[in-house]
Amino acid sequence: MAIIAVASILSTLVPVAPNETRIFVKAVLALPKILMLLLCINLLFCTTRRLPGVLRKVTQDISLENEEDSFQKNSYDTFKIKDAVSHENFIENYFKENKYKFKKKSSGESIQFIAQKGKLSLIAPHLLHVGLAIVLIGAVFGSYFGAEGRLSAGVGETAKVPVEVAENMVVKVNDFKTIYDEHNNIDNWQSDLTVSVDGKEPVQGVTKVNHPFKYKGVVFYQSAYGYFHTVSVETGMGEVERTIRNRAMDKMLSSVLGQFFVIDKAKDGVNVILFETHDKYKSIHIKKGETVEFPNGKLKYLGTEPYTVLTVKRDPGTSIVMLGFLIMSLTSFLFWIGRYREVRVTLDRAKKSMMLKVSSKSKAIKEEIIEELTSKK
Amino acid sequence: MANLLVNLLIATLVGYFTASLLYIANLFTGNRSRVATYVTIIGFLLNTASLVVRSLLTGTLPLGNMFEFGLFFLWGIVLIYIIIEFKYKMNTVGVFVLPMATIFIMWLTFSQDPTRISPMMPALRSYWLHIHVFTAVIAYGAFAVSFALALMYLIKDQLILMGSKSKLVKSLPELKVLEELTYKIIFFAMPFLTLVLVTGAVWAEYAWGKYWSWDPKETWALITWFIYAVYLHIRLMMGWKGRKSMILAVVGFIAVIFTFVGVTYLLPGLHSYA
Repeated sequence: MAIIAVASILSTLVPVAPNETRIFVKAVLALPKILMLLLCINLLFCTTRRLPGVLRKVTQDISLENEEDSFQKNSYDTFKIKDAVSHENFIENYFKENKYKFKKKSSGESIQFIAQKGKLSLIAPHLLHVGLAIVLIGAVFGSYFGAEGRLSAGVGETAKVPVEVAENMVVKVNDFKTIYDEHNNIDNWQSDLTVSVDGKEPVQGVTKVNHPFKYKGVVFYQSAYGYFHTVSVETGMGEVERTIRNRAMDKMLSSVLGQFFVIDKAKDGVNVILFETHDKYKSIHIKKGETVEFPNGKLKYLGTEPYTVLTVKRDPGTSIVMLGFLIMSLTSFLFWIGRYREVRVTLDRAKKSMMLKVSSKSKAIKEEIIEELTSKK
Repeated sequence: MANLLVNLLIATLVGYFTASLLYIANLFTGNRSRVATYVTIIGFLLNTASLVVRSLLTGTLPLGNMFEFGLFFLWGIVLIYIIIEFKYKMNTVGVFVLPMATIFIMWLTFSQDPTRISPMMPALRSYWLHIHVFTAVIAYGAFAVSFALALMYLIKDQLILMGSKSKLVKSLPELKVLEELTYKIIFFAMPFLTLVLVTGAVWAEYAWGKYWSWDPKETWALITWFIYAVYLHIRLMMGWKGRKSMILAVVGFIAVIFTFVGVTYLLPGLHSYA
């Protein structure tokens, strides 16, 4: 785990270029993933080997049936007591107050107790390992059998879902809108879609950020959006009508008939920045149908239509990963139950003695229990 | 309202700074007075009021950017500290936690702009944000207190090794107590750190279509998880106690701070807003 931590640190510090090709960088990026996979294989082997025994212990009911044998096998500490009857009550109360599950048996001169607590904590680390391994298995499964792609379409247009994600699946964008909150800030972006396969069983749905739309195992995420601005440009070279595609918040420079300009969606129209030999010449807000003039000609704004960009994904591993996450979340709180401890006590009325054995992996817990059970004078 | 927020932040800073001085004075004079605790509680209430005012300004829970999360994180640190002080009757921990809180709020007030309100981006407008950040506040707050305890341990241990008989050695709690409490706090916080990772991953799946992107913030949160997992493993399975495990507790919190501040400034990625 320490090596994974170091490898992960390295992977975040190495500078990565877009479309990275350097083998060294690729190796550094892949190292934590490979190590994680090795860790999971290790955890799975370890847990598979130990889990049956732990499960047996957890599901087995507490019993004093073979206590005589255990008595022979286990080394007990012996303490002198004054009165077995009052000690019996004291021990019984101790187990009840500390919420132990216990059994008691009297035979002849001896009274035997067996008590256990925190049984579920025995299984917690193994379930956590299983959860982590399931997450990794789901991720590997998804990377082999899943696929992801992107599509974009304007309102009223159709687009094909990339074939590696789904075959013959077509999306029609019925509407795209920006939703505003009560303070007029952007709350979300929403695409209204109709999805069909081979033109059959068309299904309508809505996708927006944090609320993806699912259809036949394919998930549609609202990923980005932009605008098609239609303009007419007239210069000494002639007149031409063009549609310019601009991704939202991405001010790209356009060129039509040698005229450079940036066109950007604004409230009730567009903002146009005109350039004259690389220098900003004019910045103006115009509405639909209006014209802006520049030294060698003019630009007329004819209208804007939005388009939406969707990420489409088919990942059969996601449900497996989510199951792993659920197991990890639940079991991480199982540790709070406290560490497992088992207490065996035999009181001997005739010898006025108490034999005590405490089993726990924690030395501190052992010492604490022995101290408390021998505190009665 | 923005001015009120600034005034509350400065009042909180004064509260935490005064409490720091009182705790330090108590340590060196051996005074058992609870004034430092009461001043801490007043500072905490002012911290809470700052969060409330910020919520009123933004119209939502203040969790949308580094300043807001920082203020909430600070609140978590002091809350966990107050609980620890009352539960374990150990006010010397305040000597380390309150100065840390003072530096933190100074940084928030003077290097961030508390009056700047920016609308929350659509990806953050999800109930997952509340669960994700709230679990982070509990986990990171507890780790901050465990860091203070580990530092106390290392300082006392070093002074003992050097044969010091200073008042500080006598005033600091026993090494065994510091070690045990550090472990208990990390043990308590670890499930919340797991939830931070899990809720973040589930939310990312809904928002971005990827439960894990190896984004620097995600990777560093995972590194932090591994460091604390190593700490718990070596303590529980291998029985490592004392200096080595305390150093690991300190390293764990350094990773927490780097995840929170360092990654944002040095390694921008998908979480660049936080």
